[in-house]
Amino acid sequence: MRHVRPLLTLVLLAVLLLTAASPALGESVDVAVARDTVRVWVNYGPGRGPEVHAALANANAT
Amino acid sequence: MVTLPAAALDGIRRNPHVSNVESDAERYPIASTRETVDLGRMATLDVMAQSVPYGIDMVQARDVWDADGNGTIDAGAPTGAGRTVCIIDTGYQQSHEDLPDAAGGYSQVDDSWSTDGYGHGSHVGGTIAAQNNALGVVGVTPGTVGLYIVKVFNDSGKWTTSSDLVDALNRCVAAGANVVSMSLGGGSFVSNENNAFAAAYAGGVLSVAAAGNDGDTSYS
Repeated sequence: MRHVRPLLTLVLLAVLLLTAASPALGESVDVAVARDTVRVWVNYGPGRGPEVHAALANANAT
Repeated sequence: MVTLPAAALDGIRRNPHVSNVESDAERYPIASTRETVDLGRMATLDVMAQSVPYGIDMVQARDVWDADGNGTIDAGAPTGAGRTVCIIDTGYQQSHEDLPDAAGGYSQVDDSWSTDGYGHGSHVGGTIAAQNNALGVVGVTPGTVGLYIVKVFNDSGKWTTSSDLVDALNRCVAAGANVVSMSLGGGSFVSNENNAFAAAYAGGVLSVAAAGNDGDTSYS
């Protein structure tokens, strides 16, 4: 009995940790990809369109 | 409006030709809960009677077109006829028996502006223009104002963005709207969005947006 109680405590701790971590494990790949991109308004000065469009293209903007 | 790799954002911000970079904020229908029909109450309603929502008389709408209070539209009274209200929302149930037909519309989310699986836009449409008849409710205008619909929220009421809202506004303006109705909101100020609505206003288009249903002073 003296050896069983610490073992039981460890098992309960492991269950607790795994349960707490499960929502993150359940996250889809799509969500992870979406967080790597940002959707933004980009404003630029008069006549600067070509330079900014080139910079956006270089940055793989879509 | 562009979608960038997050790692490239700082570089674009530092580009000397770029004057401003701001996030495309989310915009939500208000109330954000699904419009529901109280089936229990519906069963007890006299189907041949029209009810007047309290808001209609709160804004004294009937005093404008039914000043003598006889339940019919007064001859020559202003009713909104010849004017167009553009409703930016979840669509519009064109087949609803108490709603006037909208002249046209556009959907950003599916192929049908004239259906409304969420109900919010049709609810708004009824408040604006439900017909003065023996059915359902009556609107602020008694079914006489012209309507144009832009569907920006899907059948789940899912949020849209400031850029899509600006696109919707532009479609309203192009359709000849005099008033734009938006029962929606969102917390972040977006200068591009603000500029678009200011330009529409300068062009004679009045935009009206929800102030929230929470009864507090927070921006929505």
